[in-house]
Amino acid sequence: MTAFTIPFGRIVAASLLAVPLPAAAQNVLRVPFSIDIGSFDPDNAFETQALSAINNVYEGLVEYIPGSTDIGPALAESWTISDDGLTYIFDLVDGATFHDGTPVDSAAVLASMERRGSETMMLNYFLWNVTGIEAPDGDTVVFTLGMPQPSFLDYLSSPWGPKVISPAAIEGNPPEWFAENAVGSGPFRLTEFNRGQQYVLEKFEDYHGEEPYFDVVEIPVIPDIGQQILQLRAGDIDAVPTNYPWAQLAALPPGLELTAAPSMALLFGYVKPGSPLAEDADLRAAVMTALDPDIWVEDIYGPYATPALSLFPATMLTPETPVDFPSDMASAAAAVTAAGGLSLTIGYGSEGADDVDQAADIMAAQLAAIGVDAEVVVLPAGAVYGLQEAMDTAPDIVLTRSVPDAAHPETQAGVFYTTGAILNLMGASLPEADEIANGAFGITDIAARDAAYAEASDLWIEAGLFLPFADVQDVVVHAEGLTDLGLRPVFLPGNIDFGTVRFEE
Amino acid sequence: MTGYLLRRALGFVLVLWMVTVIVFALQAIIPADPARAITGPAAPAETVERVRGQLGLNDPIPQQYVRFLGNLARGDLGTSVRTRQPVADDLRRYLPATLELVGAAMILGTALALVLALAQMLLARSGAVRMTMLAAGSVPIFLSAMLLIYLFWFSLDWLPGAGRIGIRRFEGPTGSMVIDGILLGRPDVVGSALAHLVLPALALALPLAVAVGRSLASALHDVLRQPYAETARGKGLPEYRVVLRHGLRNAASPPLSMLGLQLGLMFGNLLIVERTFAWPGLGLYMVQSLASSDLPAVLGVALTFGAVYILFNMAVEIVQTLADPRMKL
Repeated sequence: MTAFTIPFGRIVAASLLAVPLPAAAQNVLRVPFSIDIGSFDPDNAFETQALSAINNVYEGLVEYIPGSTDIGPALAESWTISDDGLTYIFDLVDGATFHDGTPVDSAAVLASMERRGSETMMLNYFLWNVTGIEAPDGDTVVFTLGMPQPSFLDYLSSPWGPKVISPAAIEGNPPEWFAENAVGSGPFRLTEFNRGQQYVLEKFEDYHGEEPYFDVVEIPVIPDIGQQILQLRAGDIDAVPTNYPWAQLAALPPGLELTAAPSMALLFGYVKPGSPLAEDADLRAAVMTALDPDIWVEDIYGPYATPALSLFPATMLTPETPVDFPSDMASAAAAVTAAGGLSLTIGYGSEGADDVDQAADIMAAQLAAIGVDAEVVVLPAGAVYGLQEAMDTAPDIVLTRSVPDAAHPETQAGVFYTTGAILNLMGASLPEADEIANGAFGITDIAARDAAYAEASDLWIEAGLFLPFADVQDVVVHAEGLTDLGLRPVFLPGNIDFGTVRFEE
Repeated sequence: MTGYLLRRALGFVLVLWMVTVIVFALQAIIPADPARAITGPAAPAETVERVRGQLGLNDPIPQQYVRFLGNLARGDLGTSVRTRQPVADDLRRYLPATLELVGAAMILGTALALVLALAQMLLARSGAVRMTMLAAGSVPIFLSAMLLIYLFWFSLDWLPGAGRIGIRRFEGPTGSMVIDGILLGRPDVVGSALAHLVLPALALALPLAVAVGRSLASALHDVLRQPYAETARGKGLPEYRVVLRHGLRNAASPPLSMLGLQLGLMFGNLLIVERTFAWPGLGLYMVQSLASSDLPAVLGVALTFGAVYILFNMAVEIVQTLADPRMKL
């Protein structure tokens, strides 16, 4: 008996010694990722949750200011745009260095932009319009565009936009090295890349900007949201950055609070061209009556979402005349009866979040109330991208909650709605709306630009091709006292800025 | 024995070949696009197309399959489209954690099965034991996993509820935290690793314990009615010695078969348990690879699980023949 208990006691004692101290006491921030990092390469990976880490290790020339869609300085302290809109001149900040000690200068920016623009880099399309980059002196970088592109600064500010990498690291390592290593100039260094387990960032002492509050950011990989919530309640982590159940936000446990911020997450629906919904105006009005987000948005999101104003996120543009869903349920039911009934399927990708699932169920119930035989179908992972090849079996409405690449309306219209747009999942086409959207591409006057995109939005909705439902906020649940989370509308929800976040003194 | 090994080696190759066929057939059926998954939703068509070309996804499926088999014969499992690392490297990274967890679950499950079977045989109120086993076996594993976490970590704080170890930056030669801690003389590592193992291993072990325990109890029930057991009792041996000396060995074959079968089910449960406990093993790797339509990674894990399953069942058959000389390999 003794022989057994003594080692066991040692083991328990040893394991207790191994338990880390509370994160805040060590000035360590612990924020989990529910999705493991695929690649840390800022040029060659489309990451989602890892954006917060990548954008705190690397910097671009410009960036979105937290809480807004305004563009502010990063590695460029100022910039000028030529009158013809073809030349962008950036003046670099003084004294910035990379984590390996290499100074940040125009040659470094050139090397990074060449890398980003390379054919082998997945995110090279961010520089699609750049025809030349020059470095007239050590502190100046000049971009020449092929055509005027008012969205160019937005592309540079995008969370997936071009970052500046140490030229020594680019020269000294093969491209795949950057999947698990990083040498940027941001406020944090990547010091531990333990795939599937934990990533660690440590404060960069020579950072040229404001010193971060936290010395260390630990990012454990915790895929299960239930596990994340328990760890937050136990004080083992400091935040649940995303996917905290909406229904539980109203009654958070003691010691927790939330930060809600504007986001570009828009819940909207693709309508299958050729479905009764797209072809028959009366039926469309009836269905829109039943799907009116005024009725159900609060049920799902509480105060953290509002009915959509248009096909563009409200943080991107505010239309003069918001979309108006009819409200006469009796007329809607009569229209369905007059049409001899209606059957609809509402689909969403299995990778969709719980709120999309709930929205689909509520919509089906609402449609049933006006006599529509509605069915909800869950599409296999990735299947939404292949809908155009299987239109016969495609649902009548496909729901998605998406975020654009940047805050310029072009990145919404040109990706989701115009003819042939890459995420125009049902292949919808409305030439008159395309013409307006494409014409708005070069408009520099913000009000005129937004009015044009809003007009295109109205046309797409009136044609029954797309239905906007809700502008959803970015909600992070965290330990009491955590503040200045630096949430940016363009980032995917939950991307905390580790450089600004701190505990209240 | 040689004939047995040859037959099993042939079976081994055939089963793994079937795994590759099934996964490739799935690729043809499922409308997922790995190129789109890795380039992101907003990437232009030409970027997606270029990545498709790099991945060889534009080739007909049979051509991709032949290429895969050729590479596999050279030990090349391809590159993960999600991690951009060779799949073989990823497997080496994640396999030790899974083997450690499965090994612990097997040991724990077998011990529990033994206790449950003996309790059922020896206790007067064995109905209660049977009911407990049925109840434990009927709880869905995601629920039992969360219950264990909630009770033993969150409420009682007796054991850790997530991860492999509470010590940063520990690496050892084998990748098994427990073994490496022993090899390197680090009791703190051993203690922390064992503490982290208990709950996920228990969650995995419960279904196995119930299945094997019931099988063992049933076999014991039959064996202990045989004349040689009666003779042993007639000689005055107490019941527990009859069970231990004569019952267990003769009743071992059915529960051992069940143990081998349970490993396959355990691999399925592994995907849930590793996700719930944030256990960085092949199950978690598989879950994330499936979400990214990462076919090379999925294939790599499927082949690994298949190989481990076959090898384990071979070991079970050998143990069965040792326990019961009437059985031949």
